[in-house]
Amino acid sequence: MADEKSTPDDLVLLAPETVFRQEGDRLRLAVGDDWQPVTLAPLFPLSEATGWIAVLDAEGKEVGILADLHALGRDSAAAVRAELRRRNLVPHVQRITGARDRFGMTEFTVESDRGPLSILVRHPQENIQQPLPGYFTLVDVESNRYDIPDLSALDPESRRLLEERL
Amino acid sequence: MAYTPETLPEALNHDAVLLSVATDVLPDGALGREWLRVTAEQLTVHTQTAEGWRERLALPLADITDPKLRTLLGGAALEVTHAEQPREVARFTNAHQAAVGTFLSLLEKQLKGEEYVVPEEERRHCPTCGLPLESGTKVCPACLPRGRTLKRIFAYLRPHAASAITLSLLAMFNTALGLVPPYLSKPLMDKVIMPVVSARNHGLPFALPPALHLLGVITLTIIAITVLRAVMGTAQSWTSAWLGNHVVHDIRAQLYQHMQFLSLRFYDKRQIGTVISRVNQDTGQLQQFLVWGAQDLTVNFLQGVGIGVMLFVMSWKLALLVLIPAPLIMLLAGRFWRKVRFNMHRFFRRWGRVNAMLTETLTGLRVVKAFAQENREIARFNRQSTDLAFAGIHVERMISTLFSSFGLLITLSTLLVAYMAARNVLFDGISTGTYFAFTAYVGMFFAPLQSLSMLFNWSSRALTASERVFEVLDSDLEVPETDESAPMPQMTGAVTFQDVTFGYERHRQVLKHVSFDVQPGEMIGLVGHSGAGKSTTINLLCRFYDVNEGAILIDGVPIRNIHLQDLRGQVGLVPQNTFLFSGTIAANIAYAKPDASREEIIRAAKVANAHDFIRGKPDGYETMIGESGKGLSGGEQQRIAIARAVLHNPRILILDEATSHVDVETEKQIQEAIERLVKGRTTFAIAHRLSTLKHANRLIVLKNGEISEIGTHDELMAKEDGEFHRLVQTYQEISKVQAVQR
Ligand SMILES: Nc1ncnc2c1ncn2[C@@H]1O[C@H](COP(=O)(O)OP(=O)(O)OP(=O)(O)O)[C@@H](O)[C@H]1O
Ligand SMILES: [Mg+2]
Repeated sequence: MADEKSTPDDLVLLAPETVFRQEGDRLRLAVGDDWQPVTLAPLFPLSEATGWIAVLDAEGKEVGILADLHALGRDSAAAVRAELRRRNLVPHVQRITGARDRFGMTEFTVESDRGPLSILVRHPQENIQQPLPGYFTLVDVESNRYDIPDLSALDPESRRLLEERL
Repeated sequence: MAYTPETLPEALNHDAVLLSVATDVLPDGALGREWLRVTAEQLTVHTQTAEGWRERLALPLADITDPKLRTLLGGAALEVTHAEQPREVARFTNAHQAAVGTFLSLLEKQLKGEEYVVPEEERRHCPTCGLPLESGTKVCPACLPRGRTLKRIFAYLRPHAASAITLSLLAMFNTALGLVPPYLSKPLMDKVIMPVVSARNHGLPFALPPALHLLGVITLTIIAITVLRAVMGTAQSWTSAWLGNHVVHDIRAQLYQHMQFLSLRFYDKRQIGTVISRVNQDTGQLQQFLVWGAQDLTVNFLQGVGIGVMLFVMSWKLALLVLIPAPLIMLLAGRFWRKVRFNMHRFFRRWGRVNAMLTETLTGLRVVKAFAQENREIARFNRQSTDLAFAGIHVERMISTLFSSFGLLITLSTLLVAYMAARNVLFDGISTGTYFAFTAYVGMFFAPLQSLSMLFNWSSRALTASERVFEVLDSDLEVPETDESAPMPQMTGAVTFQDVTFGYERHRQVLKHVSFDVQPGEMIGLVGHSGAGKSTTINLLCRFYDVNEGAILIDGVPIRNIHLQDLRGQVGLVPQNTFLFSGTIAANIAYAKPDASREEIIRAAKVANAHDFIRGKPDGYETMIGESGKGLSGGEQQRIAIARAVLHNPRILILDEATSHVDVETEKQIQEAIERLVKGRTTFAIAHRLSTLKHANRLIVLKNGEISEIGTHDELMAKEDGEFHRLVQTYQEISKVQAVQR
């Protein structure tokens, strides 16, 4: 959203002492004696899972940036991790068990971190993309997204099934 | 994922349910099924469990306010404020965004106590196979009635039936003639050579002259046939060249025409280079096949049949031997066919990608050079090209492996036949002449099978290419004309947006419930922060995209029902990113009206304040400008674009940041000119320099895809907490800073 402009000099890196906690279904940030509800916006979500995360207040204004999750206290880091998991609905593909082509569509059957799935991709050339080397995203006919964070980490058969269609 | 349309399960349904929607993610992030229900009293959420539906959450409607969506990665969450705390109600993936979005806007109305009607569920699944439909399309590509690829290629022959028939007749006749010379080796052996040789060996008397005479006749016949065949062969190639090129031209022209009318959505998703490669490479491949391959294929086929018949006539036993490898070859070819085609498709795709890269980097060469990134681009290109090379190697190897096996099978069986035939001469007493003729035919029979390798290669290329071409031809024109489309040759220019909601991608709405009314002749300023949805509003008015919900009316008629030609013919657009074609300045100005007179062109240029700078060019209006306006400054390009829209003389004029690249002085002049111009036409002007919109009758202020205010300049300025007031203040501060710096 463009309502709040930020200039380079108000890049605030949150101190490692910053404290977060999970309360109900909300991540909260300690501000003085107050627990302020915040949301997270990972800035490099594909390449950097545990750092460079913007923290926004309830109005969507940037409180600061969390450069490295590991620097936080253990409980705070756990709370942030939990929130990151909650805001991520994209399944990660762990194995491709099959691929069937029909009428410009490919139906992949996969095993993911959310269980077995079948992913129907229309025009694979367009809907399978590689935003980073080795990082693949698939978008299915329902515009749902599925990620393969590191293709080279998959077994050879899975790799073949995908690579053949690129 | 379930791809079936959703209806509330029986167990959860009862009369009091006003609204319901399905979601697919459980609170812990696992995939699962939940239903949200709204009755007059409460909002409940039910989770599907092994035992049935379990109520997870029940919130009295009286206690909740401010329902909204929170974007997550790959989906969103529906939240409400409950007891002054934000509270998550449900979460779901992108697939459910549209449905939940509708649910949300109805829930808002319910909470406010407003009237509403639950819209009928939009058909998003193919009625035949249940697969989801591509947004905006009504037919599923899988269920589209379409012939086999080959049949479709041949359908293109129909307009050229005469030459196609000539070609087939020539081919048949030529093939038949080709069968004669080997047959003549039979009398040559049996009547000429063998009698004389055996008489001489046995010291018997023999008469030379009749044998010599026969030899002469045979030789002359062969010469005559050879000459005739050469002539006919040439005629055949000529016809074939004509036919092949015409057919490919027809396909190419149709493809280009189709591309012109394809929706912008089609191009949004694709790189231009890959689309170009469909017009160039794919039709090129098809051409090779149609000009050379198809001809060879028919000739070889006919020849095979002819020889087969001859072989059976001469000796059916030996003929059967010849056919032994045939089923094996068929089997082999069949098994390889799918694989070769699959790999061929990959090869073509990579080719397209190399093309895309070329187009992209060459277009952006200035940026590449400015940042000294040539080497990186070279490396990137080499990577793509290597990928292409490997895909090529893969295909070629596959084909050549296949054909070495063919070759081997064929040679072995030729040897076998030769051996058996020779045994037959020894034991069964077939004549030497028959032996020679037979072996000659066997050689001829296998020759086409050998050249099958070429054909296989060609035809798989051609089929792949044509499948890619047909895929484009089968893509929908996304903003189709409906049956109710009617002409509207003379619009007055009244524009109405009725509760318009739109997103480029279905799961991300860019415009939300936008409604406004514009009188004919009004000048409307569209303002708002960058990314607010101003250009999108314009895109919808031009019907580059169709709205997802609501309607846009011109003179009270939904634009869906106005002939596109009439709509676009009366809307003049100066787009945010100026695009000029290579050609003269005059041609660019007269783009929408090629027969415009010189006077009209100059008048238009004067309105756009372009006349003076054009006059300063040595070639004046005939100055050539390069592709996408090369050779002109940004402001000059904009002014030509304005002149182009002016000459078009539209009822509705749209200026999207039309003067952003010109200096303040020029802008003022253009403004005065536009002021004269906009009299009597409806005008939409977008500008970030708010002073540009001083003369607008009313301003529409957009914020995050929603209308935040509508009113005259003064009305809006009076609202001190309004968005427009804020924008103007910011703008003035910046102007002050600039003034100081000057
Ligand atoms: N072709 C597209 N595909 C997907 N999203 C798009 C497309 N074009 C624009 N958008 C998005 O739609 C939103 C509205 O864009 P739009 O071009 O209407 O903004 P605008 O108000 O004209 O902004 P500006 O003043 O910067 O030109 C933006 O968030 C933009 O990212
Ligand atoms: Mg814009």
